[in-house]
Amino acid sequence: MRAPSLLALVVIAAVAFAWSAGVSPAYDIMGTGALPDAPARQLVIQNCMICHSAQIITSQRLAPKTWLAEVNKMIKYGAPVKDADKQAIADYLAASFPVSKAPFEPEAIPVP
Amino acid sequence: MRSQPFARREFLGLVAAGGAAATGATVWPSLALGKGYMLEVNHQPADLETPLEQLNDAWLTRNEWFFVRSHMGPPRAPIDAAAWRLGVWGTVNAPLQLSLRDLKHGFEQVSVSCVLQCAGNGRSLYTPKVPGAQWRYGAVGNAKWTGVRLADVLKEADLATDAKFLIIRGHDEPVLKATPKFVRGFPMDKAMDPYTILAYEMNGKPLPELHGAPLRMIVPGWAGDHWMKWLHTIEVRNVGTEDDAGFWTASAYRYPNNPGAPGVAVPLDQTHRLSAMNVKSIITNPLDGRRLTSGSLAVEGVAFSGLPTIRSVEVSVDDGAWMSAQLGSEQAPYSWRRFSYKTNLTQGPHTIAARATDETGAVQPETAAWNPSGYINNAIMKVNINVGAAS
Repeated sequence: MRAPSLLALVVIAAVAFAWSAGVSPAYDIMGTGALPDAPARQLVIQNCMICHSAQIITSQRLAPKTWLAEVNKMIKYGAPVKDADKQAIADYLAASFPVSKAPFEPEAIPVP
Repeated sequence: MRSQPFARREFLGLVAAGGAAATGATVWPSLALGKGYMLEVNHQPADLETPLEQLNDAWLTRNEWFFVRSHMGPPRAPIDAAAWRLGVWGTVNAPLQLSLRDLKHGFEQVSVSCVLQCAGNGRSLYTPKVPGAQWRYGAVGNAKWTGVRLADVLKEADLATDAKFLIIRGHDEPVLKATPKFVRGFPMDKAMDPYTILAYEMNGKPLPELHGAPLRMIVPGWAGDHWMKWLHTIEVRNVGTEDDAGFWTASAYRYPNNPGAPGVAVPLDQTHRLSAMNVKSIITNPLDGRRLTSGSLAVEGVAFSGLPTIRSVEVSVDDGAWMSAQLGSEQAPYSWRRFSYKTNLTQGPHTIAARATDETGAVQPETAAWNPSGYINNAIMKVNINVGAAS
């Protein structure tokens, strides 16, 4: 059997990396791939993605107090966030999507 | 108010040819991806923005390219159009249960060609940033809607003399019970406006599911929050106010009575229900950041307001004098008007701005009043381009 080429190894490594991050790049329709890895990431996925995909989060560029207000608003709408997790989620979002971050680029979806 | 013939091709053909020539070697993303594309501002529920070059395509925005927005997404159980009924009840003498067939055969069919714009179109362009769907310019479109007048349906239901306002419900449902349903209060005077219709067709085709099939509200001049989709019931009330519809009328889609300093919160009791749009123009060609091989080009775009007609559109190059643009021949009350301004630019960088004036003389502002929810941003749009051979 031939030894695998360098290209094949690179492709396998890239796919494995994406897989380990829980994201298949071509099928990340819920947009969770844009949520940076951190302990609160799973809280965001569990509490927020019940109702909506991640783009509506990852497209925002907000000040910390506005992020906290958004989390409170979503709790009012029924997001099942535990009291103990509320600040951690707000801090994670404020650190990940601050006003200073480069603007969100929406994905282009081909249509007929 | 039946549909009018449109003589649009001869004008559009010229505009399209001019646009293609002006952009020269530039490859449009729409060509690279096929016939067109949408910008996915959110996937679930879908918020899809129309790219500017597709708004430049025609006076009427085709259904597949029309922006998509809703709070809950389409009803999770698909609506069976044959079994579907529109309920009209409350303070009426003759409550109705209308099938699509009843609507199509029991009332005069009318068409209205008009602009639908999301209240939050342009939200992402406010400073400081505000939360919400981060639309740029493309949460807007112009379509020919066909259906029946809401006023005719209300007359058939024989409104009680003290009928005061409407509560309108759709079939869309939130995922969680605690999330407020998208229910809206609607004032009687706008309901009786002959341009306010219940539509089952969009651009001559059955209303698409994402746009509210089988029936949606068409509210010319008013922002999209009033254009209820997947209609279920129209309740007539004689006591209370529209705010009794709940969260989406009483707390959301509010605009400050006196917009204050940017970034400052506004108490709810100092706001009012958002209704009519303001005067606005959008440059759809050339696109911001483009390098053009030739300085001879037509600046093109669309202009509309919350009122039936646009008086004029002007274009300014490099902060120079405002020059009158030519308005397109296609027009209808509450529709947008296309515009075109031919210019010949020197080599190098240029800034192009456009501003529209409505029928009352109101002109677009340099900066739109900041408001906490980022609504109705109608600031003058500017695009930066560079004329010169590609390096």
